[in-house]
Amino acid sequence: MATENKKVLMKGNEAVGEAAIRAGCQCYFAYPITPQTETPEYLSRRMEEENLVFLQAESEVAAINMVFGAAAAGVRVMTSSSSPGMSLKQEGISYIACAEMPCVIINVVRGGPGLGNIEASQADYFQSTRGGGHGDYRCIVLAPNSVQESYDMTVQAFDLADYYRMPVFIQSDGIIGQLVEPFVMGPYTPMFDELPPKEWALTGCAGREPNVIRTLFLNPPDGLEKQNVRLYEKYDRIEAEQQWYEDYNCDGAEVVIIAYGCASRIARSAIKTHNGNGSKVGMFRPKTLWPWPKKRLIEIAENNPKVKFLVIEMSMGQMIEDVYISLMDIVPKSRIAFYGIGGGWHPTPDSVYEKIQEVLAE
Amino acid sequence: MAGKETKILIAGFGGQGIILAGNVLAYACIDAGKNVCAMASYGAEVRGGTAKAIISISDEQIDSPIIETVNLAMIMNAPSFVRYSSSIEKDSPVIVNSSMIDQGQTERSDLDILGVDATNLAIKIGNIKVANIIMLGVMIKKTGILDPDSITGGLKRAFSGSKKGLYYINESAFRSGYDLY
Repeated sequence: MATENKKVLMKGNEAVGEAAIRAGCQCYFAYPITPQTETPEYLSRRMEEENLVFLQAESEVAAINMVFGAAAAGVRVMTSSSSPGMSLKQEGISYIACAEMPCVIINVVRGGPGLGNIEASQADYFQSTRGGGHGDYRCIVLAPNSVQESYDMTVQAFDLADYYRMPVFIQSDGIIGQLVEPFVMGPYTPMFDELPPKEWALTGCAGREPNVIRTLFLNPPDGLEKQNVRLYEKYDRIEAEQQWYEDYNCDGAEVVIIAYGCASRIARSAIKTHNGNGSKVGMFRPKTLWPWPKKRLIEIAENNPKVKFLVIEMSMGQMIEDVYISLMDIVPKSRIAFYGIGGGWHPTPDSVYEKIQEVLAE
Repeated sequence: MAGKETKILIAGFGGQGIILAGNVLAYACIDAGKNVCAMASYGAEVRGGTAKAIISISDEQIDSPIIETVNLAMIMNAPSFVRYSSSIEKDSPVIVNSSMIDQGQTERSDLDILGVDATNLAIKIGNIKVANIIMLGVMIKKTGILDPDSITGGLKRAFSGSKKGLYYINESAFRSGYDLY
């Protein structure tokens, strides 16, 4: 393999695979689906080289339940899929969230609903941030917009999962996953000084009380209610501690674009053309989709009382709901515009440029 | 083209080494210290269909991976020439594989088209599969977008490990393309 800290060339999906190995992932379970199949392809070779567990499951449902089992045994574990496959995993994810099992889940989003198509999309935002499965739960969702971030965020996802004891998503898409870019494959640098020991893990109970990991809380009658409260106390803590974002040119901007992942890069091309022509356009890019980085967005709105917002998505409009919720007390909806394309298609730098002009002229 | 983003289209049949030629360029950019972003077409149409790669090269940060029009093209078969010539910007250099493409197939008279008998030259060198690298040699000489040494560096990275044995024929294919004009 390449030497540490030297640039290497890979697809986003391959970088995710290598990141998992660098982060100490011991088991990977998945089922192939376009456009994420480079991750299992890459790991089928690399995990064998490293003497780790690679298993192509018989289905997505099986794969996510294998993830549950491996996480319960206390090892670092990952799965990956794309939209229709993610729908199949949702039951398992709800169970894993309830049992508070750390794991990393990669979704390389494609066009939907239904089998949809294999083009890049951002239409799984609701599914990932609202809990696509049943019950009151949240998952941390990280959204890379480059191959470098696909690598870095996957490494960080393992630490976040262990630190907060919960599933962490990487929300990529067909373009970010297929993109080939040079990136620095840095060594694993822990995010936290210390991770909590996995005293709950099912490691064989000789000489100690047995551990029980469960998702069924029939007794006592308020057992599940208490578990929900516990989970939500944790989610509140994460909302306070992990709001990740990048902002660009926001101070004094006339228009601030809000976009994540691939859409943020398309938007940045349009912004550069605009600013070259003298108008002032900025961008706010959420890097965590949950928790949504609302503190900084509110600050931008408060510092800049006349600013207009333009939300750009590769969907019919999903993240815009978080923008409305974040800004509901300070910015009227009339100052928040939307431009998005669904069905696995995407805005272009030219079409975003035109939309910015429309918003500026309003 | 210094300072400006070079947006390159490479297209041909699946199997002509379209993606490989793109990867060689991308590897060469690492050595040359340039930013690069490559996007290959993916889909249910690879075998026997057209393969396409778009490579953006710049000294600046590369933003949109979505490229609508290109300012340099290397096209290896006739269907790709017909299909993609409308996405090439006016006055752009276009290197076409004249072994398989009749230049009369495009109505565009505003392109700087250079025909290279690449497939026949590759057969003469001893491996039909190196036609892509011969064309890459012509392209680098004609445009100067990268130093030829960084391309040979890129070839070394692309042909490493189990493919190491293919480096020399590809390196000589690149040289023969580079020295052609």
